[in-house]
Order: sequence, then C-alpha cells, then structure tokens
Amino acid sequence: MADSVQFLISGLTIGSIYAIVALGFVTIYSVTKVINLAQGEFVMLGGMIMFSLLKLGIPYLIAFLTTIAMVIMIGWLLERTIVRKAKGADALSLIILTIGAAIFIRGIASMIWGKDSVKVASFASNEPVSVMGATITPQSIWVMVFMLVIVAGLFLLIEKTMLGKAFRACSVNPLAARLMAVSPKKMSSFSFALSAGLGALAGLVIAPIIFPAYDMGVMLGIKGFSATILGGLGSAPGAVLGGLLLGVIESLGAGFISSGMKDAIAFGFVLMLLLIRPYGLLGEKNVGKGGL
Amino acid sequence: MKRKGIQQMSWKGLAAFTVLILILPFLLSTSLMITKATFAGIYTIVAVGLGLLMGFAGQISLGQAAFYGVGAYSTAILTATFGISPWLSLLIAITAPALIAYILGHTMARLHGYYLAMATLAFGIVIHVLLVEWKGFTKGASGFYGIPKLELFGFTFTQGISYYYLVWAFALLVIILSLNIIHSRIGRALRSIHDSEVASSSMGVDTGRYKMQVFIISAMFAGIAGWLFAHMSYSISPGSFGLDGSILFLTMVVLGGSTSVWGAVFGALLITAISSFVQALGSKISFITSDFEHVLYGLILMLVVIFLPQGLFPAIAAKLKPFLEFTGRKKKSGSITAVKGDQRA
Amino acid sequence: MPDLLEVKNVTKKFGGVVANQGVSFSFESEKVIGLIGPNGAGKSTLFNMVSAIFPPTEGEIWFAGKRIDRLPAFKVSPLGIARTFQNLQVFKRMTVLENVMVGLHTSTSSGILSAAFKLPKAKKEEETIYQQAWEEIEFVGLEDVAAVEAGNLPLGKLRLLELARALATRPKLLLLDEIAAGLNHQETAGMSDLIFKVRDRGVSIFVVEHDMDLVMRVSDRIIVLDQGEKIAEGTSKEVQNDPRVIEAYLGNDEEKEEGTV
Repeated sequence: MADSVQFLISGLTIGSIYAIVALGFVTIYSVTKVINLAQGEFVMLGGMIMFSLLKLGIPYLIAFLTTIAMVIMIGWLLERTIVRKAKGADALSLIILTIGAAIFIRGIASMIWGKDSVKVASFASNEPVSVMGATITPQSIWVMVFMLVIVAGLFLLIEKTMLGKAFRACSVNPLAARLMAVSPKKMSSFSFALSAGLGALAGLVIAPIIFPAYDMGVMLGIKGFSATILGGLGSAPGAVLGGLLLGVIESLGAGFISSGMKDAIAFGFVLMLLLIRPYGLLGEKNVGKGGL
Repeated sequence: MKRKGIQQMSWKGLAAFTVLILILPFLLSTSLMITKATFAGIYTIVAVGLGLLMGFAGQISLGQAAFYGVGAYSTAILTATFGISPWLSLLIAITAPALIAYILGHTMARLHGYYLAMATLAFGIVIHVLLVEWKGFTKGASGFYGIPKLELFGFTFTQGISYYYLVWAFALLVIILSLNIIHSRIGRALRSIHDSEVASSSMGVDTGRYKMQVFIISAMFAGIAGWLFAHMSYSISPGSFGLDGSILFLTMVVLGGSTSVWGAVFGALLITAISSFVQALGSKISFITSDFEHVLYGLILMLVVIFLPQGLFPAIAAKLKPFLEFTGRKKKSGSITAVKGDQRA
Repeated sequence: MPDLLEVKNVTKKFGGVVANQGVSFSFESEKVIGLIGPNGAGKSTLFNMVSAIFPPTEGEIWFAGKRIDRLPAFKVSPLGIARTFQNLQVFKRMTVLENVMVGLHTSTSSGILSAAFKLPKAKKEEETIYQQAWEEIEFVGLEDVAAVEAGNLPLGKLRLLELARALATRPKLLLLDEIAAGLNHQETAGMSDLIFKVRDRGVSIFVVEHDMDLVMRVSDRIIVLDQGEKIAEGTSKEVQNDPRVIEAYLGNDEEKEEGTV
C-alpha cells in the first residue's frame, strides 16, 4: 500500500512535468499547426541556464526569473528566425524542421555544459514529508502546485483576456482573425514564446529532482509529445490528462515491473492506445485531419 | 514501342551509377575508407526505403533505426545462438520488421502524419529499451558478440572489398525495385496521393492501403540493411539502433531529397562522407567532437527545409542538366526520367 | 431496371449549418441532368455526397441498385462513378498522360510486388493502361501536351485533363463540377460539344454549372436547389418558367446586394 502511494505520487510528479510540456505542444499547435519537437529542449535550457546562473552566485528568485526570460527569448527567436521562414511548408517538413532545431540546440548545449549531470538546489527545504507511509519531498509538491497554477493561469489567459481571444481566433480561423486586425504572425511568435516559457518553468521545477543534463530534453520532449497525442492532439485538458496518465503508468511500471523497462512500458501503453483509439482520449475523430 | 509522355526511369543513369560503384574500391586508398563505403551502401538501403515512405506516401518514420535493429538482432540471435544459416535468417530479418510495420501502420491508416511520427518514435524507444533490457536474448547494453560471417559456396565474405560488393549488390537491387515501384501503377497512385488525395481516391485509389504497403516495404529494406550490418560486424550493440540512428537516416533523406529514389541514395552517400570527414577532422582538432556532428545535422535539417525543400539532389541535377542532357534527366522533379519523345531502352 | 442514381431524402449538416435538406431525385441511364441553384444552394455538397467524399447526415444514395452513401470514396469509382473538380484537383507534378493513367487504376490490379519485380502481368497491364490513356487523351484533344507536367498547363487544358482522367475510369455516371468555370466562349462551346460526345458513348452525365447557356443546352432535365432544398425539376423550359426558380434567383440577388453594402 505504502509502495503504491509512493509510486503514485512520484508518477503524478513526473506526470505534472509531462503535462506542462504537453501544454507547450498544444499552445503552439493550436495556433500554428506546428508540432514543435524542440519543446523538450526548452525544458533542458530551463534547467541548465538556472544551474549556470546559480553558479554565478545570482540570488535564486532573480536567477529563476532570468532563466524564464532567456528561454522565452530563445523560443521567440526560434519562431522568428527558423519557423517563420518555412511557412507554407507541409506538416512533414515542419516536423523535420523542429527536429533539426532540437538536435542543434542540444548539440550547442553539450558544447557549453558538457555531458555531465548538474545539481540545482531545491526551492525551499529538502525535508521529506510523510503521507500515508509514503515520503514526499517538498519539491514534488512544488511541481504539482506549479502544474496547477500553470493550468489555471493558461485558462485565465486564453479565456479571459483580449490576448487570449486573439489567440483563439487565430487557432480557429487565421484568415478571419487577420480581418479582425489580429496578426497570425504575431500570435505565432507569441505561441512560441509562451510555449518556451512553459518549457522553462517545467525545467526549473524539475531540475532539483532529476539532475539536469544536456540531453534531458529528448525524453521529456518525446513524453510530452506522447501525452499530447494520448490526450488528443490540440486538446489542452487532454494534454494534462495524458501527461498525468503517462507519468503514473511509467512510475507504476518502474516500481512493480522493472525500472529499466519503464520507458518501454510507457510507450508500449501509448502504442496500444493509439491502435485502439487513434484520435486520443479526448480528441475528436477528425482532429488528426487538421480540424481543431 | 514508342511511349511518349511517361516519366520513365533512365537505364543510363542506373548503369552509370553501377559503374561508379564497381570502380569505387579502386579509388579508395585505405581499408577504413572501404569500410565507410560499405556502410554507405547499408545506409543507402535504409534511406531508399525511408525516402519512398516520405516522398511517395507522405508519411514520416522516426523509428527507422529500430527496424534496422530488429533485422540485425534477429539474424544475430538466430545464427549465433540457435545456429541457423544466415541465408535462412535473412527471411526472418525481412519479415519481422514487415510484420511490426503492418501492426504499427494501423495507427496511420486513417490519420494524419503526426500519428505515425508518434507511433514510430514510441516504437523506436520500446525496441531500444528491449535491446538493452532483454539480456537473455540480446546480451544487453554491452552488445551481442560472435555473429558468424556470411558464406556462399565455400566463399566467406569478410570485411573489406568482398563485403563491399555484397552490400552494394543488395543496395542496387533495392534501388532497382524501388524505381520499378515508382514507375508502376502503384507508383503513379502514390504520387497522385501526394498532389491531391481527394482526386486520387475518387479515381479509386485506396490511399490508406498503399501508404501501408510502402511503410511495410521501407521496414523490409531496413531489415535487409540490419542483416547486412550484423554479418559485417562481429558484434552489434543497441547504441546503433536508437533515436540518433533514426534521425541520421532522416537527415540523409531530407538532405538528398525524397521526391526521387536517387535523392535518398545521394543523401546516404553524402552524409556518410560528411560524417567520415568530420571524424577525421576530429582526430586532429579537439574542438570538433561528435557533438559538432550533431549540431551540423541539426543545421542541415533546418537549412534544407527552409531553402531547399526538395532536397539537394534535384537542385544539383538541375544544375548538371546541360551536361547530362543525354541521360534525359528531368529538371523539376529531379528524378531520373525521360522526357518528351524519349525512347524506352 | 432500377434507376441509375437515386438520391433519397438526403440531408447534410455541418455542425449547425444545414447544407442540404431532404433532397430527393432520381434519374435513368444515358441522360444529361443539370443541377443549378444560386450560390450556397448546396450543389457542391450534394456532388460530394454522390461521389462519396463525405457521407450524408441522413438519407440514402443508391447507384445502379447499390447503396453507396456509406462507402469510402475509393470504392465508388469501380462501381462506375467518376467526377471532375471545380477547384481543379489535377496531379500537378505528373505529366498529362500519367494523370490520365491514374484514372485507369481500378481497371488494373497488379500489386506492389509484381510492380517491384516487373512480372509479366504488370508489364502487360502497363501496356493496356498506356493505350487506353492515349485514347482518352485523343478524345479530349490533349495529344500535343501529353508529355507536359500538368502543373504547367493553362486552365482550359486542365479542365479537359480532368475530363479525360475521369473518363479513363470508364464511368457509367460522370459528375461534372462546374467544368466550364473560367473558360472563354470558344472553350465553353468546345466543352459542350464534348459533353454530347461523352453522352453518345453511353455515359450519363450529371452537371453542376453556373453557365446557364451551357446547362440549358446540354441538359435533358434540370434540378434546381435553393438553400439546400430541391425547389424544382423539369426540362429547361419548365424550369425557366417556374416562379419559385425565378424568385430564388432574383431573391438571392437582392440578398447579395444587401450583403455587399
């Protein structure tokens, strides 16, 4: 019992990260129809930049905010310099483009930071708390709190603000949006910046738990992508659900079957689900065909 | 029989390429270079299959290295552990990836490119994990040793020139088969899907079925390549069959261009050359590491998609056109084709 | 003998928008039937359902005694329905001849393996495909551009190409979706001659057309849609004098004028 609770909690922790990464995918996809496979690299940059800033002796909170700002800049630049240039390319080419960006960023990161894992300090105390026989580190709680705050924040941003309205307009009908003086180009930049910010946040909250390294973005990116597809491409609630589900399955698989097999179990599950329900958990049947 | 108006394959182009392959070993000075050229042949086989999938079925596979791995490990296990003849295990090395592709293909039959991308990505990771973890069969991360050499009528194919010719014989076969497919009713059906799926299906083309068939063929080609790789090397390890491998194959096809079979061939040759060059450079300059190679591939992918969406080969073929007029290369499509009024050989 | 095409009480909704409402009609073989109506009357939607691009929300469509409204598009072609597209769906990167050869896809059957290994059957079929494609090219008069990539052709030739490609499937029923749109006077005249030639081959033709002269000239019978519903059916003369048809066209014009303010 205590084991199960323990696995469940660590599953929800990592699942929260997948959910945040998946929300990043959805953010970009809903406006631009691009699947940004460099999403995981934003997470990696969040962790690694934080590490460097802390090493320079910059106070935690300032380092935290600077990291987010820097990753947002990188996301924005990625859209301006690369993605926008390829506008009009088909879905296949856009996927390839973002894979290229991912490898490029990862390669540069390994040149800057080397291949070793680094350590980033936790937000606050490191004293584990005991709940129902399972121990939880405060950082795990932070991760889940952040996920909830992000979900709530995104909801408010998209549903309640003018910016959000413009955002939704672009995702439903870019042409009509342009007629209403909303620039799909600006929204495209904005979606990359927002998504990079989400990635950076994910990287920042998970860094104290997983010892970041240059290649951490690969798996996190792919898991986030899986969560997005699992939930139904383009659906934000689906992305959160998919992320949490994937985290829990992976954690239970690692705990009860074999920790080496956890990725195979998680992706095996994704494959099974895609075969049974090709359009994801909350996806509409026609989602894959370009509808939202 | 005069056949005006069909884009035909040029036997002259194929013949010229074959001659180039035949004489290449005599131009290469070291055994290392022969080995690289042999690898280029193995990669060509995978890339041609992936090129068919991307250029003609409009689908992307991010797990092609896993099919390659399934081919390599199935023959390694069957021959080394169970003592089966490598020629018999070739059949398994082809059918096992085909079967997996058939199952995976169901995720794409009705849906968009993203889903096959996801499915193949997930599949690639599952296979990699299994190769590492299923130690009873695969010997785990340290690798599988003791794979026998290929023998035919008492002749042993060892690493070197004989294996080079063996690999390229397979590669040429794969190229010819692919060219035949492209220039058949199936090939036309596939090309038509790319231009207008709705018109294609209203002409009675079962688009899902042909996408599936091409996916299966691409997996079979990867299986053959894996088989060749396993029997070339004494040992294999999971590292060759992970995500990096899949992306390497993807880079080859994107760089060369997927609208023609020759694009994939060209891409495979070019990437192998670039990789060899960077490695050679790396032994002299400390700054150039394997990371540098990755940065380079990332750059290639981005730049090609932005500036040369059709890949390098069509661009080069167009530039060379004045010199190659006699082979009947066609400018736009970049495939080796015969134009107006050309007679069939 | 069942009717060639029978549309029974067909309704199509896209979300909340009703594109067709309870449309019924039928016709027998070897006729030219026109389908007209103001913009937004639901003509294209109806055509797309008959060619099985998408299924109706309610109702049934029967063709030559078979129910076709739940079939995928590629299964309808072998039964004998072919179509052209208003917004031109040619295969741009293939030659004119190859475009037409795709039309012969279902009358041949060699698979991917016999293609890869060039088995005798595949070679023989290729010969047949080639011959028959040429016949259609000659029928519409595109011999001189047969080897040109379709993407390089002007609109007039593309319309002919779509016709040849559809004919290559050996249809019993040919759906022409605004085949004369964008054509000049001379080309339109040529097209109407071609339509008669196609009818003389024993092919029934179902025409959606904006060019009233053309549709009145070629059609044996005309069906009129307005706002998704069938409002009239008859010979060109009957339809022209039908008060509901006149009102639909005039009324629609008024709306249009208001809309442009």
